[in-house]
Amino acid sequence: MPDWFPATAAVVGVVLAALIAAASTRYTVRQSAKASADTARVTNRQVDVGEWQAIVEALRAEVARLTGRIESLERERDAHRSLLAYTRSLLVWARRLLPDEEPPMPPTAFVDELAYITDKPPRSIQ
Amino acid sequence: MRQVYQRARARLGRRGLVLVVFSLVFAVTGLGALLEPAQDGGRFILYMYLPIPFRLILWFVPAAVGLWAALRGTGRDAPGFAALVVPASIVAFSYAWSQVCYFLGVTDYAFGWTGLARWLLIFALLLIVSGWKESTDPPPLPAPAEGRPRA
Repeated sequence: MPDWFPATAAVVGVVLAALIAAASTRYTVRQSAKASADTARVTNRQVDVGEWQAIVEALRAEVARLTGRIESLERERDAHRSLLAYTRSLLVWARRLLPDEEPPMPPTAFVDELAYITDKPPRSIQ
Repeated sequence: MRQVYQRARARLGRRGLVLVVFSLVFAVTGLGALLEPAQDGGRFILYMYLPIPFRLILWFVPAAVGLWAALRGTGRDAPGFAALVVPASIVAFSYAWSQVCYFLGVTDYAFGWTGLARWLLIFALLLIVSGWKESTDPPPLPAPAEGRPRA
């Protein structure tokens, strides 16, 4: 082996090591920039998810409000039905109090009102 | 211990933790070079031909830069990876070149591949982790509020 060979090998090795170190450094810098961009993208997506969660929460609150309103209307409807049934039974009872001859018809406006509430023709009252 | 880890994880992120670990490894390696300079004396390993002060710079400066970069957070930690990869690549290549020179008959040290394996692992991990994004998981969905719609 020539005398210059080990020194040349060392010099070549140092040059190659420097080149590899420089390339590695450049690669890690590029990778870090890419990771930074990816992280920012994930963070933005998290912000989007946060906005979406806020919308979901608002929808849930609206559904809860409407559910309460529906229940309130159902209670009101049930109360109206009870009142209607009581009114019907009251009419039947009043009819029994009348003499056998043909009873006088109730006032037209009252019959129309009952027809409106019961959604039936006025004759169904009889 | 677990709380310490979780706090460090929350503060540094996974990239920062890797930077801290490798920085400590490099600092300890530099400490070894300081206390026992002739560990691989007489072997044809390129970085061993560096004077001791340069070898200390080779280990301690990247370790310090790595620790500093770990505290900066993702997006600003590139100097840490760039600094740590320099000694890792130089040392890994030194062992690889040692093995090549053994095949060329320049040296009789035939086990450069063992050091190459160790430092190639560290080198590869640094390259891989440098491309990690910090977080992959979206935040968990909140618990459903009251007033669910009726079935």
